[in-house]
Amino acid sequence: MACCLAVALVIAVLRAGWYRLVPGRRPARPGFAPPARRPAPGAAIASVTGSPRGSGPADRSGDPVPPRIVPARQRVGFALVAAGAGWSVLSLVAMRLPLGVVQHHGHSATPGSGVALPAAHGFSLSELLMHGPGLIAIVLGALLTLSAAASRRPFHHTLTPRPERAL
Amino acid sequence: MSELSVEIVPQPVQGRAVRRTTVLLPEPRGVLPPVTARRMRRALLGYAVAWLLGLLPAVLGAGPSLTALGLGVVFPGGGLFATGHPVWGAVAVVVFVLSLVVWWFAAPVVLPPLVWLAAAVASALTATGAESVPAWRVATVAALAPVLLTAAHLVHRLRHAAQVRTGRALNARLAEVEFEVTGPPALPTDLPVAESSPEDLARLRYALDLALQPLDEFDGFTHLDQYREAALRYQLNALGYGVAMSQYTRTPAFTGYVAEAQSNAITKMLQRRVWGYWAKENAWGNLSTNRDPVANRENIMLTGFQGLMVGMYETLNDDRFSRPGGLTYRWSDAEAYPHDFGALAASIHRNMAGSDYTLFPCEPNWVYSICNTYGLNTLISHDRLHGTGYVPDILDRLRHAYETEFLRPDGRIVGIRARHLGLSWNFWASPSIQLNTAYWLHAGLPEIAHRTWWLLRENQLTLDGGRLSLPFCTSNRLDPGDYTLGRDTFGLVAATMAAREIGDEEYAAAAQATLDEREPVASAHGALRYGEASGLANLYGVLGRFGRHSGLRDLLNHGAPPAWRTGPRLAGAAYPDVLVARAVTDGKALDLTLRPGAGPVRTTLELDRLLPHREYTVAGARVGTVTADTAGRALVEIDLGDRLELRLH
Repeated sequence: MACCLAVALVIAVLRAGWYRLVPGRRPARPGFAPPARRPAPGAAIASVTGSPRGSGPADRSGDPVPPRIVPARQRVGFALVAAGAGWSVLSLVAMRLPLGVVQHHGHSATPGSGVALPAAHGFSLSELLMHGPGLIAIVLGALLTLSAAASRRPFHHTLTPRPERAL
Repeated sequence: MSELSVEIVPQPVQGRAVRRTTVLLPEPRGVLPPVTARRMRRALLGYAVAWLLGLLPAVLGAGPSLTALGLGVVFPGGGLFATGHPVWGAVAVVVFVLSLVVWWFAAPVVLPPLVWLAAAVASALTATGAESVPAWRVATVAALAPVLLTAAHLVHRLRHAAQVRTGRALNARLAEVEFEVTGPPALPTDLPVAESSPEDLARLRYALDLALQPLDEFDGFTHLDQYREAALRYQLNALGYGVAMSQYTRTPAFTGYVAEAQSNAITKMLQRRVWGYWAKENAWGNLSTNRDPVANRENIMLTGFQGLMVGMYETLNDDRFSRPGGLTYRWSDAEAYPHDFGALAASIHRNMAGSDYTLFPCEPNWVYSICNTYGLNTLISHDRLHGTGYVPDILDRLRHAYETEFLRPDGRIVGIRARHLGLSWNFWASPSIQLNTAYWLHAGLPEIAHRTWWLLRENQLTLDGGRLSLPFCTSNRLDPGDYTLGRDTFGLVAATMAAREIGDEEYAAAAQATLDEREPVASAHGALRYGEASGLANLYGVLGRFGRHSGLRDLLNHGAPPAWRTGPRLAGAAYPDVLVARAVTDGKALDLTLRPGAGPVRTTLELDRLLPHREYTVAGARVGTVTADTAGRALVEIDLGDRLELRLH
């Protein structure tokens, strides 16, 4: 716990920004575990020892847990990451191609070398347009994937204002 | 004591021996602590060599590619800037900073150098055939790091000087303050066993339901990542601590499902999904393929935290986790790492003894002061339970480290240091880290804990009308259990824990009242939790709720008194039919207070540690007497419709 809350703070700020951009994507906060049950001593011992997982059975009748599947937005996230990576690689390859095949501003050719070289006069907007979409797709895809992974079953228990002192 | 404190006179207060002491802030001997200064000098020397080598191509008039490569080594993105791509140079700097954050997040040590070198190589490739690099650009790149480092040093000196002045002013006031460090408790006056209220029991049920589900299920836990504060392991740690504290202060004569819950929390941590993060962190942080989470030089975030769970469990229940292979971390059917409580304690002691900071890292390279308090607490409980001498061997060094390397001159505890670089983040000396450190240090270094709490009271916490508030800042409005911003619930929970442990019941009650009054409550099948807080905050809320003055300190340093270890106890009860609000023994009799958790019920209790074949008188059960069997066990039937007191003697 609280190993270094500063990292958590950085993550929290990033998450808050992301959910402000994409409202409704905020994952539900987990609520309660299914109610556990243990039999009285001397009664129903067999039902405890019969549990295959080493800890007593839990009553799930009132609190079903939905099956975990890969959500659609996680698949979209993967696709975006893959597409972004592909675009980035292609744009880098394109940067190395001779002029005439793929040409973009801000580069000049070294005759005979078959290699496009960056002009010394600096960065151009076309370079950003060429390489930027790939990086943006990777970042968006990663965020989508992470946010989808963070999603869990909805918080569906009663929420009551204070005070409620007694059961 | 050293300069840290002046011992006055041990004398009893309210029946318990206490040591009265004055604890001053140490006067710093330089702008940097000694070990940190050495690490920084070494890092700077290494960088200076790289800086010189990187400048050589430019100085010697090499071609643009080699010059760009060299300038890329001099500063991240420096080659790109020098070859006329300032925006890409800036992008390289941003990516480099992001790589530092990722390194901090999950310890991939190779990432920042890779980003740095990749930018350098990219600049070399893009500079092929380009014009020579202008001298002014070379000079600019060369000057960047020295200017930034000089500025950082000057800022640090200014801040340090201000902190020294603050520290001296505080010392003038601290000289007039006496702290009371509690000694060994005496039964029964200093080991009060309180009765849980219905709300206490409902809060405990939240934790019990989490712990009593099948071992491979984690419903109700937060699932975000396994590296930082939301990881499953930290939730399991808090779960174990909270339930153990409830057993210690409310039901020391009850094992049953309360012991099972703690055992389950410890056992769940042996699963790969919980500890497997270490295999990755050790691979990308130390470039090691060793997956063993215990036999290594770091990972106190597992050994220290889980060791403390085991220490609490073994103090109150049994020694199953100290038996050979009692803590076997399984990676696959064919690969497992058999350890036990002793192995965890030995690992912590070895790593502390071998570190010049004494404190050692969680993630590769990153040393956290709060995590090492858990390691110290593990050693305290292991020494008491198994007769080892780990704490006497390292305590003075540890105290020195907390007072020099991890303390600002104004008394704020430094939360983090990079082991190899010595770097820290001053902004992180926030109240949250002080509150948690005050709580967890009280068992082993109570003087520092008391002083830290006093500083918080004086400078950070505000008591108004019986309600407590924390300073309004972002870090105090963070819930680290699920990385959400906006509420200071976690901080108030930590304040409850610390105040109660230190013995400042006024502040503890105010923090608890603030939470009770303000926080929305969620309820389900008899369990209660704060509805707008993470599971981690809720579980530490359980720990704070069941704490008491010196509760942690007594539990770890002194354990359970002989009467609790040998007297009659309640060994089994149905859950949630029977909620145990109080269970205590004086060595001969057993006193229970029970409440129904699922409506009126006729049920059976299992008692053990009775004298074989002896007949006992029982008040509150359906029969007036009960005779123990040859194993010292007996079953007692009760009708439980409301609060029920049962006494066996």
